[in-house]
Amino acid sequence: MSGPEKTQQNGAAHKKDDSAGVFAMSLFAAGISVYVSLFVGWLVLPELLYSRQHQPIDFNHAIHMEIVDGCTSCHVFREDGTFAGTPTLAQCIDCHEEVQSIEPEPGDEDYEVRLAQYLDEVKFVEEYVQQGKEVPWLIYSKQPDCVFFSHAAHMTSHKFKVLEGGKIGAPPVEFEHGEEPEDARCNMCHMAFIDGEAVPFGEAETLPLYRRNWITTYPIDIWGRNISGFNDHYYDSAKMDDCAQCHYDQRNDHQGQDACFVCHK
Amino acid sequence: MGETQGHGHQEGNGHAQGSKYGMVIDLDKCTGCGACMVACMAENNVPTKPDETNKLDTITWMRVFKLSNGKAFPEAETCYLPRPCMHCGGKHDAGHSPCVSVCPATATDYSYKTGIVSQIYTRCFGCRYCMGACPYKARYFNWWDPKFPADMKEYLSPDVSVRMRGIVEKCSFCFHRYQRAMDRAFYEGRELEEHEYQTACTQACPAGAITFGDLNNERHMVHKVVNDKHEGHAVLQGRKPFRLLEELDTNPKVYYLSARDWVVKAGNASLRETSPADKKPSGGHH
Amino acid sequence: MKLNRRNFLLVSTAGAAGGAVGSMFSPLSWKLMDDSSIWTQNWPWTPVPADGEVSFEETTCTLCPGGCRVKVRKVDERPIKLEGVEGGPVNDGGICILGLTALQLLFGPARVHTPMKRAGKRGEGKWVEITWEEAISEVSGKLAEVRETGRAQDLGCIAGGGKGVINSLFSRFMEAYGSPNFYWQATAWDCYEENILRTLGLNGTAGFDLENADYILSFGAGLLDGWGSPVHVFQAHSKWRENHDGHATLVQIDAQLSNTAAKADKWLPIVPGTEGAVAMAMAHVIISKNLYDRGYVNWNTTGFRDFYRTVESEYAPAKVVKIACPVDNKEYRKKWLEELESRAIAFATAEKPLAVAGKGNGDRPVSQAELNAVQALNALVGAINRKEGGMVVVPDEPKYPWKPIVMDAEARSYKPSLVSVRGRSKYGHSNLASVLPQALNSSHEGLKVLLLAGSNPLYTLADTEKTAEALQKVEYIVSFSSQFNDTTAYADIILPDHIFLESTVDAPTPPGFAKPVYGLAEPVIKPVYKTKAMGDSIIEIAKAMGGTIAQSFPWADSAEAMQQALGGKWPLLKRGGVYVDEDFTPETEGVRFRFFARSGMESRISIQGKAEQYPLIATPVDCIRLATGAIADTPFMVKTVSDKKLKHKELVVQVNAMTAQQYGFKEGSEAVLETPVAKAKVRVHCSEEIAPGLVGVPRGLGHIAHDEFVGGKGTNYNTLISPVQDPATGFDVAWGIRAKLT
Repeated sequence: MSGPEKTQQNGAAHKKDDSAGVFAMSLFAAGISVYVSLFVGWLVLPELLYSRQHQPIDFNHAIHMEIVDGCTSCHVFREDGTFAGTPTLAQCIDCHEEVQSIEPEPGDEDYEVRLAQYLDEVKFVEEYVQQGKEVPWLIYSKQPDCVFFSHAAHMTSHKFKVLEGGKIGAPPVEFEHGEEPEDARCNMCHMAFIDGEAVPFGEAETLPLYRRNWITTYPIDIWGRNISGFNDHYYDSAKMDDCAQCHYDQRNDHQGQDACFVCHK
Repeated sequence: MGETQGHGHQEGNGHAQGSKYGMVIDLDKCTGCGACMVACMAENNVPTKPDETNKLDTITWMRVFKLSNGKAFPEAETCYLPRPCMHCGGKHDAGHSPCVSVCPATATDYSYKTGIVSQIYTRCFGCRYCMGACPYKARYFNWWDPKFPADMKEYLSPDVSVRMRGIVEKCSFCFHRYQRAMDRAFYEGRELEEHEYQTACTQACPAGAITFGDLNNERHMVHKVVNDKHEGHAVLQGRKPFRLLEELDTNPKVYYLSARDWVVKAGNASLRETSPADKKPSGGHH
Repeated sequence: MKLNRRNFLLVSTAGAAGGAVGSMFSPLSWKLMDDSSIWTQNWPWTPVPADGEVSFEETTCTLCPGGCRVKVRKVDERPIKLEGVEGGPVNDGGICILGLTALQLLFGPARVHTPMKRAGKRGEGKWVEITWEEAISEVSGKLAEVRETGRAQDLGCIAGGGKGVINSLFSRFMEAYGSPNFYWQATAWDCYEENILRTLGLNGTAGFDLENADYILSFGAGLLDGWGSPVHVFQAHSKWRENHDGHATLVQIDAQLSNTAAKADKWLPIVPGTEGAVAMAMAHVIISKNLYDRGYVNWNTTGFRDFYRTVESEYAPAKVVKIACPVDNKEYRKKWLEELESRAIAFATAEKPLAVAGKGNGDRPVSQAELNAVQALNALVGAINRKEGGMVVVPDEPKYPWKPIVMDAEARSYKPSLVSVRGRSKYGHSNLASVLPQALNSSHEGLKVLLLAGSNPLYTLADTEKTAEALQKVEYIVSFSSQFNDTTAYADIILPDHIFLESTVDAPTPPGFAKPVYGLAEPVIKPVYKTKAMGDSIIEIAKAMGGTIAQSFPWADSAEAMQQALGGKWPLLKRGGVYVDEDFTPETEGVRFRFFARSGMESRISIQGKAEQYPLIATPVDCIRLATGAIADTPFMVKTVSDKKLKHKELVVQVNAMTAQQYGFKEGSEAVLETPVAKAKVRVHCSEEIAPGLVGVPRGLGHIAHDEFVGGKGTNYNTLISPVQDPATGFDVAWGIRAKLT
């Protein structure tokens, strides 16, 4: 009759040992899981969720800004007040019917950069201009079909104020003699993210990597590069809440909200 | 590019100061030809099914109803009545439209700037409360995915989103035309003109039976007709503008004109069912 | 630690809990939730139309002869929508339901994309694609083969009409080929032309200055159901409603409460087919009350005495009421008579009265007797050639200044045409397409080749079964249709036409328009498919045939032929798209109206069927939402058709509630509508808009072929009736047929 008793006792002691082990194991497992899920959520997900695409041509905004007069010289408004977005071949062809730049020689200053630029122009002229084919640009700020965005309203309205550094909640910029440079408004929403840094498009010598969400197909610029969704600049992201935030901030009285049929169609 | 001062009376947040877009439909001119219905379909990317004879599931933002005086041959009379969304403002135009009040998703709201009741397709999840609430049956549910066989999707307009299965849609007073017209007005730095924002049905109506504009703007024809301030023109000829189911206090923005007494009565239950003596004063929004 | 089930569960639960806690602080679940909800908002199969630059281009709509100026809204190169052009002389900003939906004809499933050759049996719908070179060489080869037999008359052509350059190219081809068998289907407007020649001795079309008339008597003309140039008539109607100096009055004399009758100030219901008799009774009132325009009648008419004698002896209102009043009730008859008299008096005493005829939307012919009677009313009140609010004669276009046709012996030799009617004065027998099936079925000769140029006879001709039988006798049918329509289903080869948006087409003065207007449609988009303008196809066929036929077509394309044909108008048309003769004054010098009313003249055309066997009368119901001509409804138009006209795939007929009760039908009952010609399964709609004893049959339904939106819906009215020839012209003037409902 002792057999079973002994076994029972041993079992209890063993159980105590074992429960500590199990507790430790459980803690460990929980810890690992917390770590893994945080790791996956914060670091792996952003990498997996978005594509990495290069533009067909690495357009150099900075060079072009030297010879034109502001963003709307190329990103034009049509006569009916609508915004044409990316320029079409017809606008480029005046200068780029033939290759403009000179092929750099090895040993030249910035040889590699200049060679890349030269090759890009050759590609542009040969594959697009001469074929009469529009460049399939990847649009960073492409909004979904349900959105109606009026560039005309934002570019002409007196209600629109440029805020310091494009920072959320920052005070409005006082321009000298009230003369507001055109790109100040553009830069409120459009910035080029190059190597983690926000650069005004007009100063960018290269085009940012284009990243598209695999699930939504929206470009990363809509949600923003911070996977948490928290942003401190207006240009960081362009979801509906971001638009609403700016519309709210731009009101003197901080009262009321716009109707859906302002930005939706 | 010009600088814009906003546009006059539309500036500001107060409910009373905004525009109030509305319509007057002359039923004596309307011939029931259906041009408004198809103009609307073509303008707003409305799809078509092979069988559209079940009128409960056919999507027609603008629908032309046929009224009858109920008398026997040869005393019978009929009258066509085009019915867009009424863009109800609710009591005192406070925005308590029947549909807006019941939407759990804020997929439809009332704009104090234009008086237009919106419908945001991506926000709607298809509960159809609004359809039950709308006394004018102006809302439609997409039971199926839209289909544009052959190359018919080639003619779709980019100004209006194509709706998916499972959501509600309705007349928007061609709000995208307002957006386009405003784009131009902003760009040219001026106010919106009456003729610049007209709905597709108004534009198409071969009988010129529809007048559209800002009910709050004294210069607009709709304001003149509704408030009997038209000069020289015998537009009304003693006809009083009336609205459908006025006694419900939905405060619709679509007015009708008819010289025929039975038509006026058919459009308004309070006129039909109660005698003038015990009729409660209703609304009084004129 | 032992790895048993319990511990395993414990540890993994802890792990899961940790994962859950971790994920609360990780964006993963929140972000994926947001992303997946966005994903559900943008199904990839819901189309997203491409944006671009908006532009507008103007042209002239040629889907009906209405001649409206329209503009196409384009996004980049893509046509999005058609709209009316403000200031257009015919339509001033308005547009009709068909024009609005023209893009569904352009892009729709019924469009023919390339030349096709029949592969299966006729009507089976099996086709193989061929190239244009193959198509032109096959058709021209076939035509040459027939011509070599010395029987050029074995080629027939049914065109969409007799006017305009494109139709003239086809009639020219027929003439150069040597065949007299060129036809089109007459409408009410052909009848008016014939009548104008008979009563006024002029060659021209009837124009009505509706917008300026102040008292309009309409004898069954569906003014608001598609009659004339529809948008223009709608606008005239609206002007009547807002006339400052008092209302213009429209009185509709109609067998049913048509849309026009419903909009009229007064609807005078009549027994169908008695329009002419009622007009004569009104003439009786006007003459007997001495209210007629003596000046006009004395100086500008002939035959008044005879006319008066006939009217007096045969058309006293008390006599006419017996045949024309639709309600057999003493009290109502009295009221009806009073109404007829008072309206006749009001008409005669109005400042600018005008009487019009036209059978529904005007694409069905009217008998000469009826037109004589209605035109007599216009003569009695001096409305003929009255410039303001009157009926004017718009002269025919001068003959196109083309070089004469080069004729060889075959073309020159006499060939009898398949149909002939005695006493026809205008256009020979060419507008008698309605007689063609009968001629083909009874003749042993028939046609070897038939060209279908803008026509759809299997649908538009009365008695579909007989028409199909006749078509089966034709060896080789060439269709130029841009759509897979009813008759194209019987074709052997299709040479698909452009839609007007893709080609150059001229638009002569629209029917009923009171001024000469010429419109031009010009390409506003690039051809979407491998189609070719019908005019260019026939020129290419002529060239491929060589010899005198090729010599008769010296132009590079139809636009060049048009330029030559229109002479001085061409540059104006190229500049503005439309030409209006603003200074037009109708010819009055020496023009006298001849009253026709021979004693014993039967102004009622009798229809087929015996009353004992078929107690009811089927009459057509026209409505502008249903296109009744060669071009069928578009998908959007079908969508607007009432469920009281079409329910699923069944035709709904209108029957008075009393009649329905009499035959035991309720609203929506299934029934069989039988006429001496055919039977059809229908549903019954009880209506007070139609007299007892009538069955209102909507026209414009029951297409075969086409697509799932348009084809196979309801029954074609024309399958149920058979043609009845007007003894004066030979046109099919059947206004109905006897019928029974079981």
